[in-house]
Amino acid sequence: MTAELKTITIAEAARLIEAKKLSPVELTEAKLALVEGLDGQLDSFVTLTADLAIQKARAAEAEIAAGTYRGPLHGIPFGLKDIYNTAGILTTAQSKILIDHIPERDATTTAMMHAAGGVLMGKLTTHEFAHGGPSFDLPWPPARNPWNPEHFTGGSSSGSAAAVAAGLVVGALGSDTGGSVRIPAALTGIAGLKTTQGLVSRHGVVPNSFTFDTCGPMAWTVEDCAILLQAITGYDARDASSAEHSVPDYRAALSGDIRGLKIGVLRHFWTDNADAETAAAMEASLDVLSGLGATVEETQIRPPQDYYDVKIVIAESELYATHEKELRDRPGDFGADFLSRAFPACLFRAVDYIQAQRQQRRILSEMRTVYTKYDALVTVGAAAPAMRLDAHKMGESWEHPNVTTPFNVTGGPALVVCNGYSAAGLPLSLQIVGRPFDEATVLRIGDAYERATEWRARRPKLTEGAPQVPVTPAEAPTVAPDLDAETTDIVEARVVRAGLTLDDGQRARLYAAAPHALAMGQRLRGPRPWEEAPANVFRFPRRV
Amino acid sequence: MVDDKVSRREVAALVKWAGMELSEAQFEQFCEAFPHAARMIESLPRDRSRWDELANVFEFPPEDAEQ
Repeated sequence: MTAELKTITIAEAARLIEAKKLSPVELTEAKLALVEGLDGQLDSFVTLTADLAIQKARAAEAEIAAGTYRGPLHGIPFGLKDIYNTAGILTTAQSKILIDHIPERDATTTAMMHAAGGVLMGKLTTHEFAHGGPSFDLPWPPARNPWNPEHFTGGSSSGSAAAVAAGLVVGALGSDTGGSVRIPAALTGIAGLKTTQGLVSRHGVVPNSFTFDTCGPMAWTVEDCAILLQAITGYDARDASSAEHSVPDYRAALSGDIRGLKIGVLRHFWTDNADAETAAAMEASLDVLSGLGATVEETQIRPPQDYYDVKIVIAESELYATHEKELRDRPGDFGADFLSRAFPACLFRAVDYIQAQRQQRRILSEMRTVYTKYDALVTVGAAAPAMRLDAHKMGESWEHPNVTTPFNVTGGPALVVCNGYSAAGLPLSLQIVGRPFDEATVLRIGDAYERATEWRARRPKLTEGAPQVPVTPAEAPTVAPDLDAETTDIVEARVVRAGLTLDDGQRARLYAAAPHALAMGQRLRGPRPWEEAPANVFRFPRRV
Repeated sequence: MVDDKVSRREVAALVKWAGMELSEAQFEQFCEAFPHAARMIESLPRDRSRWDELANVFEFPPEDAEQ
């Protein structure tokens, strides 16, 4: 049984635990032993709560023995990205800024996982404040990819992905603001769901972007994601953006039958920028979906850059505002990669932020036609397999859009599942996008795809107790590019007005990003009709 | 009134950045208003909790929320 427990899914473990054929304590001990044997290579945990986990597992076992079975998460070991508040347990957001932050209360979702009987194993590695990375200059190292520890996990839910892929936890929660659940899910070969904005409470989760933050499940299978989602979904008056919406039975929706569904293919998201193996895996995936009886036809939405401009202008402005005091007073306490993303937001004007929100409203309106025509859309989850950690180029995120951010702007659910492996043995991925609040359909398609393929049978090959493979990160750029006089004047004026004190490296990276940031603002200027309102609207706070 | 060279250069940069082409009189008017606008911005409290939400929050249009 011990060997089987290394790769057991939530659904399998739940069935055995309910039948009293598997002890939650035995399962938790097996997972803790695996953490002991493997996490030295992966760095997926910031804080391991081993004693608490055993205590929770014992309590679950006693409850179940007494005839109180809470459901499929009862006695299941899980992990939380280290931005979820956990009462009495360090919650760092992987930053020196929060190095001693011990919350008094749980996030709503943390409390819901406890109420479902989950066994918290610990807090999982992230990128600093769920943004940027991979970073080697933070108090904790970045997570490594279990399929090849010299490679990147993607982020920012990096530890959640690594821990699930390696079997250290049976499921995890991540967060997705621009792809932070889906990118690591794609690069580590697991399933990860970006939920509809407002479906899952973000109360008590350290904010990245107020407008775009979503919390979502990460697990080995789509079925496990459905189980996790069921436990954390529901209206929360403490979350200003929480939506009052009926919650279906997500697991019951996994019929395996997708006959008659109409699926639009966003081929223009990968034809120009995906590598050959990713493109081939996508073509094969489309054949699988057709073979399952879905109608699959090509369609188009805007190019990724259009969505990226909206997201970056809004989200980076919000991130900057959240951290403004520390960015002024103690910038050296942030990692260089975080700053390379945050500082350029000083170049966005209030007008750019509003125009981006008006553009988002326009995009939401355009999507209604697409939703009328298609039950779901599909495209790649990532344009290429995971890169080597030493190939990460700081500041690159300003230069190119990704394939996940569009669906943070459109706001509905987006699921990533594994759709094959590269010749080098790294996972490839398929992204399934749905209408707002229609998680049931994307999960149904993803589950049917998983059942029809054999990708879930393969696991990373790691040796317990092996030493960590050393990686030397690339040097951060320290020489500022030459900018024209006008751009230089703007940047310097904004730095002074923002009260920033930059060292040479920080200034160099701001200069490198400046032309891209300024171009984003320019592209959003319009023209647009005066009656076009922003996507964010005033709402009186609710009574809690 | 903005009278030091640095601030006038800042105003000139902001004007260009906004894509505006101002007459000399308009530019002087801008320079006059600039310190007041800058003071308003500076007077907004910065020392707030990271948990302080926006008053304007994202909301799906009713048509999307009902689907």
